[in-house]
Amino acid sequence: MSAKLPMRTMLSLASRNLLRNKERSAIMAGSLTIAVAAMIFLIAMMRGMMGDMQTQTIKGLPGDIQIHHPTYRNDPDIEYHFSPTNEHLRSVLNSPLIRAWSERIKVNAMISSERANRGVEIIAFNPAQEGRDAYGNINLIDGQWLEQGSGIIVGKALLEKLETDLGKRVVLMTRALDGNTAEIGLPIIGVYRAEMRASEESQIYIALDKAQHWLGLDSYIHEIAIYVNDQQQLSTIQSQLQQARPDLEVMRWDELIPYLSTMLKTSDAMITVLIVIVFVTLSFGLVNTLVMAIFERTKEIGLMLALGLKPLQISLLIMSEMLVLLLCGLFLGDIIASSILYLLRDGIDLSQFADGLAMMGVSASLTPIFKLDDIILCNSIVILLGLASSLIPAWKASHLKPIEALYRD
Amino acid sequence: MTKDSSLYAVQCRNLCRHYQQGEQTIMGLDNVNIDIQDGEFICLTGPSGSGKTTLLNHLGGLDTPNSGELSIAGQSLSNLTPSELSDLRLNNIGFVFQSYNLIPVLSAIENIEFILMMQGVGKQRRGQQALAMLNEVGLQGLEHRRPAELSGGQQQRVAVARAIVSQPALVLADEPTANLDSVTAEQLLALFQNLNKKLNTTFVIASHDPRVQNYATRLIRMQDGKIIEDSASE
Amino acid sequence: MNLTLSLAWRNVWRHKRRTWLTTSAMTLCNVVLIFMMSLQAGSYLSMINNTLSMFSGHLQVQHPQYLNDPKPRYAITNAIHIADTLRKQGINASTRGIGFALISSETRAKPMQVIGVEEQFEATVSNIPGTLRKGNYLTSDNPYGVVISELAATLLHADIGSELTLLGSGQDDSFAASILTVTGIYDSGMSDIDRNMIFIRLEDFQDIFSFGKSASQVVITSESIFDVESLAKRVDALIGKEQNLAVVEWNDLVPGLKQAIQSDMMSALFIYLVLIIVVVFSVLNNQLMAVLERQREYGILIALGVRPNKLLFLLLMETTILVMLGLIIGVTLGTAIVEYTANVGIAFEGMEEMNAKFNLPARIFPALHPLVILAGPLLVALGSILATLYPAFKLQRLSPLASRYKA
Ligand SMILES: Nc1ncnc2c1ncn2[C@@H]1O[C@H](COP(=O)(O)OP(=O)(O)O)[C@@H](O)[C@H]1O
Ligand SMILES: [Mg+2]
Repeated sequence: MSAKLPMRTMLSLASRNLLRNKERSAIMAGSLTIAVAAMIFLIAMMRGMMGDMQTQTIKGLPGDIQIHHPTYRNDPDIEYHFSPTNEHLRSVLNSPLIRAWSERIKVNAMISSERANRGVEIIAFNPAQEGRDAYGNINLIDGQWLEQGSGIIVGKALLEKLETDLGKRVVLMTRALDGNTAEIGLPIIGVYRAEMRASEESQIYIALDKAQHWLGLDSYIHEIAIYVNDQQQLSTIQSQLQQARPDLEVMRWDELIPYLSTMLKTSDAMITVLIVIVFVTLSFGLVNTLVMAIFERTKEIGLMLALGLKPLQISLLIMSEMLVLLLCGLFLGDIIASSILYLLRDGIDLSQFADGLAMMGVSASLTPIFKLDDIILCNSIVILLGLASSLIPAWKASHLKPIEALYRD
Repeated sequence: MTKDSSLYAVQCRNLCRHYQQGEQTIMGLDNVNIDIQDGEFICLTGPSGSGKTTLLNHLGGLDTPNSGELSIAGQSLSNLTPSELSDLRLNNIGFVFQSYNLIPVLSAIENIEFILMMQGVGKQRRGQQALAMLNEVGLQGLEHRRPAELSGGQQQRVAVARAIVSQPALVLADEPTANLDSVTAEQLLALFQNLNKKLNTTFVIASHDPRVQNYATRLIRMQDGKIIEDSASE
Repeated sequence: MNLTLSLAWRNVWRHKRRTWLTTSAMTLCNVVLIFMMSLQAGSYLSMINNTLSMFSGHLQVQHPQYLNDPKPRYAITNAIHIADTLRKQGINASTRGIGFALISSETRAKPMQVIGVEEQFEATVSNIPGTLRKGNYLTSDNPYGVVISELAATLLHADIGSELTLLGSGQDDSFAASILTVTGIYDSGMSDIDRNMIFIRLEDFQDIFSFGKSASQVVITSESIFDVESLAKRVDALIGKEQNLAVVEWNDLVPGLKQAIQSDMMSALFIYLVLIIVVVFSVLNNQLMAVLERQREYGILIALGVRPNKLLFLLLMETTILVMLGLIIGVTLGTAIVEYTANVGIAFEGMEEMNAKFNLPARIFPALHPLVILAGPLLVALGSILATLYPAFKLQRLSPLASRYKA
């Protein structure tokens, strides 16, 4: 009959042993708590930042998927247009996998007010068909949204550069499809603010029918922007669209902006590496505590061995002490991190760094993203590392010779 | 495993154990031969440093001799794995160590229950047994004190209670009366004798307390690791 | 060796394993801090240098309004004179006029920024002339020549010798028009520049955009980013008499750059701080254990008449020895790693595209700078010594009796 040491007794012994040196245990648990809370917080912030970067990018493109004339992306000229009137394409676009889609014309133009002129990108779309998605990531602060055949919506920054105002007319000048310079005068009917100052300064919106008529494009367009319901379905939808129109270029957002996915992956890897480093550093402290605890308790361990406890059970006893310490630290850390994230659920104002963040494609308000998976991952890493680091002390303890340990001074 | 007493005869043949202390070799055990029958009540005596503790450690399978043979119930201890030795100690041998007997984080009663728990005794039964044992050694009311809150003598009595609670076939006690007043010492020895008579438990008690010698059925005297007198061989 | 020091040294080695474990934690932390900070410093420096040396320079002399409202009318009338004055002092300076126009080839049109440069000095303040892929840079015997980017050449369907029409408005809101001949094609690798900028001679620019003798900015570069402030003072003094001029430093010229660096630094600093706290806690724990296990010994010393102050000093000295171990090993290892990587650079898959976005080269080279190397380890050391005050404080309160009777 072998010695029995139920889990409950083991945990209770472990807790009591930890309480013997309250300060030491508190310092280690505190260190764990700080590290865990900080790491969870950091992950949530990075997730928020990366998620925001992705959202902003998709909104700014706009669309999860874009369809173009195959030459258009290299040479965004008015002549690389295509006709969207195709039964097969329409049926895919109207399938339930797709949340929204819009046809657009995009051309570069000069915009002139009475006082100044700038280069801009004209984005023309069908306001009746599209809803708000088509505008990308903008907020109307003055005037009204587009209607069929109405005027032009400009960014606040551009409005200031042009030294003009809502209701005033501006002149757009570009090359029409026939190669001749085309001019049109339009009233400013709306003013928007965008997260990205660069787009606020350079993008203007007009109605599709107006642009098609002005530029001689009939029913031709330059781009279809598509929003999907589920990011997982992206590739499937892409191939369906491609089948419908083999003559056009159908691309996902991560193909359109390749550096972004590298960046997302890199920062993921970076965070993981840093977390592991922090916890490896921490585990030195944990091992130290455990080694000292065993050192102080040599006699006691000798006694337990003499009474008939198996070496393996001694190891388990030592490891359960580490486990209890880990669980305490993790519990507190999780609570603290969750509370901080709860308090910050509406986002953090980073307008101080707005320009720099814009340079990285992030908006000035950062909302941390709380993912249960991350917390579980973080906790598991800590428990695994902690238990792994307790293996050596546990092994050493179990190999003590009972009488040597018992009579050691 | 039964506790059929005839199975627990102890045999020592030419047991030698020496310790290297710098240049010097100290003989802890020097060619020791003893046969212990079941139900004997042995007093192991001799001056300090004569090898009593060392012998007890060997009898309990805690120490291994440099040469010689030690067998319990006809089985040589040198053939047992550490794990088998652990089981042997847990199930058949009760220990009272000279010092440091109790687990500091456990209360008096828990220290006793700990052994029963390891043996797989159910929670309720082990509580009752432990409490009864504590009463028997005269510690009623102190069951929830931790070792640090007990006097040396009280700690000693908890250790004794723990050693005999599971009714082992062999009890090895190292100076069990050293910290006790004479009344308590007598009580404890009476308890040992009672167990010895009732359950045929074998006792080997290392002590130079003359009271122990009064209770003993056999006296073994040691000096410099040698047995210099054994009342059984006279 | 001094007796206290030798006592402290021996105390540190009483628990070899404990000391090495704590030292390892400190060493790991120090190496990571050194490496990461050097890597960051390296990438920030190259980000700053690449960005600034391409176009904006470290400093610019501008009309005070120009920074917030870059309009042709906010020009400097005596720009060339200022640039000449600076150049006489051995400062790299060049004058630019900046205007806006619709540039058309036979088949294409694009609105672009037109930069008028002093062709003989532009290369001293900007790397763009050095990125010429085809043809020649602007010269005085080639009036109305223009240098465009490879991207613009593709978009405009233009090549060397092509004629481009310029249509825009001049300084006085007059009509600006001209025909330019492509003499050179550059490729800066920065999409903002390639997409938007074409370069002509300042003389031609002043003529086309009715700038007269004025210009938009005097661009100045410094030998090193660390000299910018003193250079700004010098420039200020040299042009001091002139009214209505502003000397603008790089962080105002490219505000996004400094902020991008700062916001990147913030998240990194946060991790460093956590790492340092974790290590400091380890050292604190180490010293607390030392004090607790030696209570009896300290009690005897106090009973013998040793002043508690002395014990405190002893403990702090032990901590100092401990952190110095971590510091010396960590700095040695860290410096070796940085030294090695600073020579070969660091690169991984996909980094090139990502780095191009931030004006970084394909490989990052950590910067080996004593301040960057020592900052982290010194913080660890300081934090640890401060943390030891806690066990030291406990020590101060020891009464000789209490410590003697404590187990
Ligand atoms: N682990 C050991 N290392 C060295 N010497 C030991 C050790 N254990 C016991 N001894 C020596 O063996 C001799 C017998 O000791 P011990 O059995 O403890 O004597 P007793 O219990 O009769 O006082 C003593 O001289 C003692 O110093
Ligand atoms: Mg003894």
